[in-house]
Amino acid sequence: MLDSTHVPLRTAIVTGASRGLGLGIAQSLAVDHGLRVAMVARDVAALEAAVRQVRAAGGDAEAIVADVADKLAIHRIFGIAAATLGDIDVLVNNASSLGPTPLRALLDSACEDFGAVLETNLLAAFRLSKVALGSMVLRDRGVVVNISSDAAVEAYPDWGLYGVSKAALLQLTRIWAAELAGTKVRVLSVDPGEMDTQMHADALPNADRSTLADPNMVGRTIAARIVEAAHEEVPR
Amino acid sequence: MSPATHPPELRELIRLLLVDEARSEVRDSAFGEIVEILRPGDLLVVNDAATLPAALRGQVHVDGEAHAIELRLLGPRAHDDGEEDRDRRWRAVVFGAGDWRTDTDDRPPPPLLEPGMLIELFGDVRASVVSRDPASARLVELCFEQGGPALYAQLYAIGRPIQYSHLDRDEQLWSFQTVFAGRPWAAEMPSAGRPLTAAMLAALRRRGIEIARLTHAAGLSATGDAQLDARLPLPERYEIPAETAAAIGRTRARGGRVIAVGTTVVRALESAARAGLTHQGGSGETELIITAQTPRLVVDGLLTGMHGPSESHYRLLRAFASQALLERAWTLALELGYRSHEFGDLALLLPAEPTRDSRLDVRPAAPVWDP
Repeated sequence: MLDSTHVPLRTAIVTGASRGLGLGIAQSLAVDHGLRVAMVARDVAALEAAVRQVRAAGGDAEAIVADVADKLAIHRIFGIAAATLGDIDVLVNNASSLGPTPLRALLDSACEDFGAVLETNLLAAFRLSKVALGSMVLRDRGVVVNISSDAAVEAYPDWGLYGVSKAALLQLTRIWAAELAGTKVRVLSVDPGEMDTQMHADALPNADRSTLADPNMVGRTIAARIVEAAHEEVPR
Repeated sequence: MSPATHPPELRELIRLLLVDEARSEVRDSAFGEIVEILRPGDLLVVNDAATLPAALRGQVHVDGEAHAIELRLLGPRAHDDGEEDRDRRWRAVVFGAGDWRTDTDDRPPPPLLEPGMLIELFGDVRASVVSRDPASARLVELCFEQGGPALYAQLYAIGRPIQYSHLDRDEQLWSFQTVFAGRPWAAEMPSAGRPLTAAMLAALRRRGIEIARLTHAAGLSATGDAQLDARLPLPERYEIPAETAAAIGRTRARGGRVIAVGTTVVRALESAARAGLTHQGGSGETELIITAQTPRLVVDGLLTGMHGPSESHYRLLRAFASQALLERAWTLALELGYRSHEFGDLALLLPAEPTRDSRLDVRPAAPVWDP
């Protein structure tokens, strides 16, 4: 049900936004839904190209170069975004890491690689959400989306580091949503399915690309879901 | 009073001194008890400004000689134009060599900055001096080379949170943030809001106590220059959302009290009332200095850090309690080992009369105050 009194979403932070799904979500939020979007990624050149692409399509976007796995970068990302765009209404935790590729069995995986995957896929999402959600709860508006995977629930051999991190992220999402029940702030998990992205090619180089979804199309669906979630009326 | 030298282990683990004028009561409690002390129908207004990394180190050349300086940014000036140029001009206080580990008053004075002079900050960031305050040489206006997101990226790369020598370790920026911080407008943390946890805010709401917000650019608490210190707080920008104005209206209508979390909230709300902004919300820059003589138009109670008679904020506390009661409270707080400063204990000041200017209720659009 739509709540007609709801103020439209105005601003978003999207991580891992220089390519693939992150770029697709950022572009759709900016172009199709008119949000001002802070696009976060590590690679300066790729990120600037992505921001140019969104702007060329008529979207309002800013680049924030940062590694979300660096905990010292968290307040920097949020601060630059909030100073530039205003209060943040949407956070999309999309940046994620497979760990070393080709993917390896758990017995062959290094503890340090596991730690690094958890920093990017789980703790970065926790830290950024923690910084963004307090203001959202105070304003009683906002949406946080964590990008999940079927590897979060299926036990795929060789997908251990990624799968465990995504399983934990899914549980983080569920608990956060439970804690914020009774507010208008939404915390969602979205499984985008298999897409034709660099990340997919890194994991499964021999996949038949014709069977994979276009990340821009999936990005549009997720952006629409975000806007819809913000307008859902939930009994308080 | 001894300052708290670092953040408490958990943000809510501090003491709360209840200073209730109507009951002539001064009572020590745990901070968490505020949920029970406030009444259903009350409105708690917080300042949601996040704290900037506002301390920047660098150097200037005077007569060919390099001088180390530290800048403490107060906030951007309002008159900028264009997106890329946005927030290029800032007001700042200049300190001499050294850092926060030295007592502010013991630091060497900065060289005299002249308009047009170039300031080279660490990390290859540059700003030029636009003007110097006629009364205080340390107070300057600067223009950075870049504005907008590029400038904020630089500030977050090179800036440190403003700190003082009472701290026992170098803290990260996250230590200076409230749970609900949004836009980074504050030079120093609006610290009275720091002990509020998400769980406490939810418990307050469940008890029928409304929570509303405003954003106020909290400035410096010390400048190292007695003359400039006497002018604190300097002009600060604020923004009152329309929802907050509406919440104030609802609170008045049901006979609840408007409780400010921190002196910055008092300054913003009382300034807004005088500018006719408490009905629809709005924004502005305020020069209002609140003292015992300032009639309170909006704010019925104040949650505040422990401020002694020598501090600039003490004058403001006098608008909420008599000198005799404040002295009693201060004496008890000393006896009980209360801690001051940004990570310290709090007091809740509840004046006997929730004074409010009834003109505010009946003449929303008209100016209600002619200073």
